[in-house]
Amino acid sequence: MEFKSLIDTRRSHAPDIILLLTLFVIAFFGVSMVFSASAIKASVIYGDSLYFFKRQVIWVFISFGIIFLLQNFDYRKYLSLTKFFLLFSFAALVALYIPGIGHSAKGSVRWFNLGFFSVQPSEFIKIASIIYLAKVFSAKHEEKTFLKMTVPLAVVGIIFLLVLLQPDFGTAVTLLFVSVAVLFVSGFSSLYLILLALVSVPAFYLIIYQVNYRWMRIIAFLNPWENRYGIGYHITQSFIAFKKGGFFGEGLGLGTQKIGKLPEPHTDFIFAVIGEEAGILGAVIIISLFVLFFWRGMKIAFDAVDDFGRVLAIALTLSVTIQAFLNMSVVTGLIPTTGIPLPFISYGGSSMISNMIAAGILLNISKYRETVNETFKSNDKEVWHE
Amino acid sequence: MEEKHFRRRIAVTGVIVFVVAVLISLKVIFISFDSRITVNKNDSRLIKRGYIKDSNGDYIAISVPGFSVFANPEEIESYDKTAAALSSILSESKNVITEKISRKKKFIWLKRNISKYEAESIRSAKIKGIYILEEDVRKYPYANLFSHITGFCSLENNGIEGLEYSYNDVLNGQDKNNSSSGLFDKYGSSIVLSIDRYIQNRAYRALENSVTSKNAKSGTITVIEVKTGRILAIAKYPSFDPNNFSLSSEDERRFFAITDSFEPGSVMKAFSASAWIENTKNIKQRFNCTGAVKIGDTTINCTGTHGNLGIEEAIRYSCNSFITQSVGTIEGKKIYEIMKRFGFGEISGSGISGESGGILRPVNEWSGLSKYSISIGQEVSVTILQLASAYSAIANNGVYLSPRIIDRIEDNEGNTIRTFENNDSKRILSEANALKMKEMLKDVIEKGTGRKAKLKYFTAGGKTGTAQKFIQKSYVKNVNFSVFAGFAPVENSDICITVVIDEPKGITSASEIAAPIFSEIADDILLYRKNNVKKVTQDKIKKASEKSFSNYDKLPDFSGKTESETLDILSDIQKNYNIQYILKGKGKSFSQTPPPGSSLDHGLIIIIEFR
Repeated sequence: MEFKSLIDTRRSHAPDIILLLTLFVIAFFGVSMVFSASAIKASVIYGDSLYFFKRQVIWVFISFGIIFLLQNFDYRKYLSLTKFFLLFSFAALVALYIPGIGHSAKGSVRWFNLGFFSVQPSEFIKIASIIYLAKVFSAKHEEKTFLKMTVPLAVVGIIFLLVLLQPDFGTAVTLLFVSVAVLFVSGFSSLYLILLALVSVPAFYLIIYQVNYRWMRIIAFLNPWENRYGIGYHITQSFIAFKKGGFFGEGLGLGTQKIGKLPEPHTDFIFAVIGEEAGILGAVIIISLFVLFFWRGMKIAFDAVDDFGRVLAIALTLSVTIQAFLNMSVVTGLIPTTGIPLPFISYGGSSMISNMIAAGILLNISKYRETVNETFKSNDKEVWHE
Repeated sequence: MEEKHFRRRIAVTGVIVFVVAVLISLKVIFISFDSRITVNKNDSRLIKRGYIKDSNGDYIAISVPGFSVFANPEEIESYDKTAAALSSILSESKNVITEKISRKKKFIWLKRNISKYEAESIRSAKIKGIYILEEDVRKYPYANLFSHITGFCSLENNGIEGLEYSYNDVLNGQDKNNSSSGLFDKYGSSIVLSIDRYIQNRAYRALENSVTSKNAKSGTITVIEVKTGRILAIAKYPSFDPNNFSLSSEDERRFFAITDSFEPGSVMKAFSASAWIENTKNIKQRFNCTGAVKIGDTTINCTGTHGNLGIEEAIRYSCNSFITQSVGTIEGKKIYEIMKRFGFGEISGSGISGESGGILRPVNEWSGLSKYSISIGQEVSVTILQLASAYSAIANNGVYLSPRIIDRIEDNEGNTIRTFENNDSKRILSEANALKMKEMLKDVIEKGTGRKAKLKYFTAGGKTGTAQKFIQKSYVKNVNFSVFAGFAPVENSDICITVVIDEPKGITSASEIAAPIFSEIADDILLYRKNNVKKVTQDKIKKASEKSFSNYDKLPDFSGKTESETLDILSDIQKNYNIQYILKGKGKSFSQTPPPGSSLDHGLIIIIEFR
């Protein structure tokens, strides 16, 4: 510990500016696409073509406000806040089932109606769970045995099930992937992970097969063209959107698939609208922006000053990236429909804010970098680990 | 945690993320080259079909977002429960629904074009395997009023009848090569008709009244603007609601004025008389009417015994004897020529689909009797539109204009892209003779068989015709078309109106049936047309002054309002805003699109449902 004095872990850096710029670009593109995808629907339903756009702009402003606050908030303080986060998460998940508090929409209870807007708590619970996982798995003295996984996995498992029951399949799946990724990066043996996967296969079978529409979604996924006027309708319409877009797209605002064809064009299927209006080019640029986001997150994890920072950084980065790629995979027909928004782009305050919270924490972690001189660093790397 | 280990695992994660990113990119590219995906530019649901408007710019056919409900029978858990729930929402028979949802299919329409309320009910019922699809639906805000003119569309938004059919490509924008930029693949062009909503309504209401009270089979009125040939109204009763065309009968859908021809009887005497005065050397020649004329073996009876009379009296009293004797002095060819010039025997080119040309056989196919029969409106069959145009030509001082129903075609932004004008006006009667004919036809109303067609405020001319129907080789007494064709005012004629009532019961004579209808509507229409020019400018001034203290600057909440209260508010709004509305159902207002508080814009379409 005496070596610690050689390492300056005080906040001595500006936050990762490339990450911040990436977020700006994605969010700016996102609000433009929300406007394009929602204008018709908004004018038909609300008589105001800017209805969704205006709200999304407000969310973006609030989100960047949150980023500004969080990049100033020392991430190590979350260590002591974790249990409160978890407590709130459980309370919120249970409260959703209390009639009069939970607000049901489209066949699920995922929302709290706060009057002026609805909150989808599972988005925030996902962040709380990630912080919790990062805390337990970065604790240094612990050996990474199968047994050690069980308690935190049980906690996250219960959260996972509660989210799944809402049902919010998309968030649940994201949470699952992130949990596995955290286990992986925090050094658990691959063997354990394979064991875990084998255990969860029958569980997954039940989760999917017991819920009829999920099974139908898989059929639709496997054979969209045979069911193109039934359950495969939406995914084939998504394909048609990309096909229409071609390489350069039809031009922003000029797509037609968003009108009565794509389901949820301004939320879950916004990537198809991007494909139609901005073409392969636009879609690949968006994919690249998320890769860029991941790369910066990975770099922040590499440069983080402690294990908690490392694991937290990579977990939050993966949470955003996995969600983005899950969404894109659904829209391009690589996986069955799960109902998951595209981070920073899809319309919706809860998704926007929770992902921006993740980004804000990342930016804070990026401020703490080791500023020892290079000679010292190259001599003995292990010095920072006792 | 060992940092090297950690870094390696992060690197592995990074590789996986990168691979996934590449996979998604490849999939996007793959989709673009997937030959199974066909982008059908002509898919009618991607087309914003153009409007059909009347000459005032009021929308008589529009496309609005609508709802349809379909099922995936494989997903349905209980046929019985599902059918029960749906039958109460859709008010359809449970058996019909059960039959549909129990088919071995993955997709089946249950009901197209349902109301928003029904769609919401189905959505909130959350029935497994039952889905709602939003798609554009063609709506006809005036229901029965223009149905024969507009026709209607299939659920796929392709015209099946009427102008919707004959101008399908224009309305769907498929006559243009460029796929227009915008939210839809294609924006169709809009058709602006010469039809005036007010005049059409006036004619339709008069028919409704007459056909019901006289217990007739049907009735038709056409109103033509004499100086242009524009059709201002062409109404038929009974009509049908194109919004629910499948509920109508074929008789109701039949556009009699266009598709059917009939033997018009005495109204044709105006044209045989025209032929005679154009060709005779002595227009003052008089003939004797003894109540019947013998032509070969056939006796043609007259409407009365008129004694010694000239052409004026012959027309006034519709004397068969005079007409047959007078045409006896001229060649049959001359009769044929003049009939042809008046437009009989060929389609008028009005632009309405399914138009019949009628029957006017060439002279070499005539029998010895034909010349005489044709001169009194038998052995010749004409459409109501032909008759109207022909009388219009007399009213237009002898210049024939082919009738037309379309004024112009507009693109989706309201710019005129094509206008229709009459370049083919042709003189078919010398002006002097036309004026003579008009004077005679005026006498018909002043002194003759058309007295009941007299107008209060205007002079008018016209001719009655009670045409016996030729059923199974003989003319049947009291099974008639009651016809009146007339124009007003006599000088500087403005409109030409043709009234045809098919099989009125009881009194069937045209003098008693068709002539009064002319009188009933012609005054109103002329007054409307006189005032309309002034009114438009007055309205504009009124609008400008009212604007500042308008009652409505936002869309009010209609909920709980009755239909008439709603209409009052809507017409109040229409003083300031050029809005359109569709009212569905009966009872009290239950839902509205857009919601209360929405801003009022010109062109806004408001849909209000009652239940």
